[in-house]
Amino acid sequence: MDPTFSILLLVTAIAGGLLGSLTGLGGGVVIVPVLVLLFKVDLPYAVGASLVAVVATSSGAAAAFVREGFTNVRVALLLEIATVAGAFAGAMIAAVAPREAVSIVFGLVAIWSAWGTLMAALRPPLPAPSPIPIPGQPTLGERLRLSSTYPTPDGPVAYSVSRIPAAFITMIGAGVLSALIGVGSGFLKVLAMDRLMRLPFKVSTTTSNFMIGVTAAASAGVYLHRGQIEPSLCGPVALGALVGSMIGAKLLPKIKVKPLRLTFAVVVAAAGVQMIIRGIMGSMGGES
Amino acid sequence: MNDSKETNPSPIPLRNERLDATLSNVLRMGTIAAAAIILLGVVWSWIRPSTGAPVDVHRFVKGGTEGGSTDVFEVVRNAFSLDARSIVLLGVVALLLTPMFRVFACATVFAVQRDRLYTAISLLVGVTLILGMLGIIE
Repeated sequence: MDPTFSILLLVTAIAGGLLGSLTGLGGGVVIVPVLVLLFKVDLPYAVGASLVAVVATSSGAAAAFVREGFTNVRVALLLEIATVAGAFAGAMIAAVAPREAVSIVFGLVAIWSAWGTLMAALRPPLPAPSPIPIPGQPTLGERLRLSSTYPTPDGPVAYSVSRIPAAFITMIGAGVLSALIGVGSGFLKVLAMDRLMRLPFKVSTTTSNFMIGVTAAASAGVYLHRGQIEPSLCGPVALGALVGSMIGAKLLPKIKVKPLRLTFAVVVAAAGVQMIIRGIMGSMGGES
Repeated sequence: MNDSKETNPSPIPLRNERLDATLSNVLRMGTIAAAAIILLGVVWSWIRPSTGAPVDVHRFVKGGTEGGSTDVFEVVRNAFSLDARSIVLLGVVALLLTPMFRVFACATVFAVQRDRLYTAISLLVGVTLILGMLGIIE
């Protein structure tokens, strides 16, 4: 491993981890295009390295979040059945999918999550869902004992969980995407929990983060056997992303993230466009 | 804590603090240990680079063997013979095992609390992950 290359990767990954955690976009959506477009790393290696970094940042952050009591562990475990199954399916698709197609899918997802981030920053968040009244028949959420409480300044507040089958299916998709393009797909996970299950926002984001580690570890485990987990890339990238996300967590309460989030969403979208162009050029037989 | 139908007619269980604390510890220790091993391997690679042809990261070859063995057990063996690439890979394996341990920690806590449904769900997720890690799912 060339020290200069390692240090360059490390510094880039610190920046990626920092921006990913500050903006809520996550590490993967940054690391993959940086490796591919800047470092000219071949896509399968970039996906492998990104997934390892995603596991590192997710586990590091989840250790802090789960102690605060926002994470709904039961919801996470139930939905992990879906994300892990999806991740294995995604890894199988990745084995046969041409790189150009994967590059285009990555670009579309990057633009989609950048758009979502822009919209969330510009629009006020949805009001916290009020607890749904308990009908005579127990709902699926009650039978699965998914309802819980989350801490607020005025004490714990109870919430219930709705539309579980729809969220479960969405999570299979999140798992497929995560494995195929090397991201945590936290954006899609939060979307399912926030909009479908109607969990309080902080519960959605922390539970999503909690699940990301398991989802990414599932496909990274498969890629390990395909030789896609290259130590000279994964080592510096995982360390850098971990350090960057830890700095981000410390900075987050102290700085104004909105302008940063808007700027960064544009950068991620531009990287997404680059990845799409690359995919199209590649499939037309051009040099990529 | 484990909601029993006799004493807690409300469908809303309280926070499972014991579970939360256990999971937090598993995740923190796993991440720190893995990061330490990776750092050691990266620094060691500068002092004594791995022998053998370097992998070309600009071109991934399907089924290529240039990167060396990815058999989990062989990675551990090579790491102990102080091969830099294998030390980093061992750290990566430790990192990937952390969320898996977390799932088995869930299973254990739920089992102690006699929560059969969630013990079963945790075990299902955990066993599937281990199968993937061992290369059984391809």
